[in-house]
Amino acid sequence: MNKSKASGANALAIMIIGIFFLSWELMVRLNNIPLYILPSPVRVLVTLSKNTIYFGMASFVTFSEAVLGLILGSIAGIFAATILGFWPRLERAVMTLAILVKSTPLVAIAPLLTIWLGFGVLPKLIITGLLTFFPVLVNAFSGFNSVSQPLLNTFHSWNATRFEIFWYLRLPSALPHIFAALKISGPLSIIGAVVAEWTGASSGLGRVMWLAYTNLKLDYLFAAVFILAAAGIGLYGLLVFIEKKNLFWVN
Amino acid sequence: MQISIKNLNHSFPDQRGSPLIVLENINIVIQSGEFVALIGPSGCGKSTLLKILCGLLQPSDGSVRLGEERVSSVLSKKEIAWLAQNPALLPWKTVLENVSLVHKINPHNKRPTFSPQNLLELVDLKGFINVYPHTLSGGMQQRVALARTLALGANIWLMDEPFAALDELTRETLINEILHLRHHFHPTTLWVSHHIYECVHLADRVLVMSSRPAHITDNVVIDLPRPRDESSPEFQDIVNHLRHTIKCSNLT
Repeated sequence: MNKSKASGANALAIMIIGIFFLSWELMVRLNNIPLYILPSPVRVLVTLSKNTIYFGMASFVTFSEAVLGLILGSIAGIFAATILGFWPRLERAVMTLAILVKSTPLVAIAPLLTIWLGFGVLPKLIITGLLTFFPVLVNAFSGFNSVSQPLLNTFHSWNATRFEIFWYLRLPSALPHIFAALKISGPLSIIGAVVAEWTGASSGLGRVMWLAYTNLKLDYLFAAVFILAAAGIGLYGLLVFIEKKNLFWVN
Repeated sequence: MQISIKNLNHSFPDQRGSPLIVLENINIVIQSGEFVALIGPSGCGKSTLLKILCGLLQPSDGSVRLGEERVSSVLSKKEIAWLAQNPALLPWKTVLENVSLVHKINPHNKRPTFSPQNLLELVDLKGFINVYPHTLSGGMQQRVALARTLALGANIWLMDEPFAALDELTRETLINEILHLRHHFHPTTLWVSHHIYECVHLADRVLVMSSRPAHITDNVVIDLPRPRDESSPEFQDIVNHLRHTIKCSNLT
C-alpha cells in the first residue's frame, strides 16, 4: 500500500469512529437516557478527566499485571518449546497438558486462584501467564521446526552442534512466529488481568469496574472500558512496532 | 585429499515400504586436487551421492573414504565444503556476518584462510559486505554462499548444482570465477550438474550417471587447456559425445 492510500484508509477509519461516537452522544441526549443505563461519551470523558489519579493508579496495576504476565508466559512458552525442540519425545505429553489448560475456561479458574492465593497480584499473573503461554508455546515450537532444509544441511556440513543450530538458526527463525503469538496474547493478557480482578482484587481496573457496576455508576464503568480499548490497541501497536524494527528481513 | 567410493549402494524405502534402489555399485576415485564433474538426468541420484559424501545421508552399503578417513571424522574437522542450489543465507545477518558465521560454528576447527572481507572481495562483493541478503540478486546471493563455502578453507568441495537456479549470463561469470578461485585453493572437487557446457568448461574429467538405479556409464577425460573456448571443434566434440552418452544411458 502506498502512502496516500494508507492515509486515506486512516482518514476513513477516523471518520467511521467519529460518526459512531457522535450518534451515540446524540442518541443519549435526545432520548434522555439515564446514567445508570448508558452514559454519553462526553460524560465518560468528563468522569475520566476528573478522576485521572484514580484511573491512573488502577490502570497502572492492571497493565503491570498484564505485561508482567505476558513476559512471564512468553518466557515459559519459549522455554517449554525449547525443551520440546531438544526432546521431541515429550511433544505429545506437553501438548496434551497445554491443550487441557487452554480449554479450561479461565473464568472458572480465576475464582479458584483467588480463593487459594488471595486478592494480591499472584493469581492475576498466573491467569495472564496461562493465557500467553499456550499460543507462544505452539508458535515457537512450529517456528523452531520451520527452518528450511537447505539451511539445516549447510549447518550439518559444518558439523554444527544441536546447540549451535538452535542458537544461530532455530531461535531467530522462530521469532516471526513468536511475534505472531504475542500479537494475539498481548491484548488477551489485558483481558485476563481484568477478568482475574473481577473475581476479587484490592486494586486495578477490574476492581474499579466491579465497584462501578455494583453502584450503577456506568460512567466509571465506561471510562474503564475506554482505557482498556485504548490499551489493547496501544499494546498491539507497540508489538507491531517492535516487530517491524527487529524483524526487517520478513518479506 | 583423495575421494574414494567403493561398491556403494543406496536404497530408500518407497511408499509401500519396499526398497527403491537409487545408487547401484558406484565406484569412483577422485585424485587429490582433481576437478570431476558428475552429470546425469535429474532425479537420478546425483544429489543423493553428494549427500552421502558430506555425511547428510548414511549409505545402505559400501564404503566412502576421504583421504584415509571416514566421512564423519573429516566432517567434524570442517574439511568438507558443501554448496547447493539454494544459497541458504541467514536473512537476519549481513553478508559479512553470513560469511563469518562458518568461523563461529564448530570454532576449534578454524583454519588460517582468507579473511571473510578478502573472500568477499574475491567474489566481487566488496561494496556489499554490510547489506542484508534479501537486497541482493540471486546471483549475488549465490556468490555470498560461495564466499562462505571458501571461508571454510576446506580441502574437498562438493558442489550440488550450485548454479542451477541462475540465469545464463550470471552462470558464465560465476564459472569463470570458479576457475579463478580453484587456482587459489586447489581443492578436490566433485561438481554435480545437469548442464553439459558447464561441466566441459570446468572439469578435468566428466562422469556420466544413468537414470535410476544410477550407475556410472561413462568417464570422459577433458584434456583441453583453460580457459576453454566453447566454439572450438574439440570442445564441441566432447559436448556432442556427452550428449549422446547421456541420451543412451537414459534409454537403457
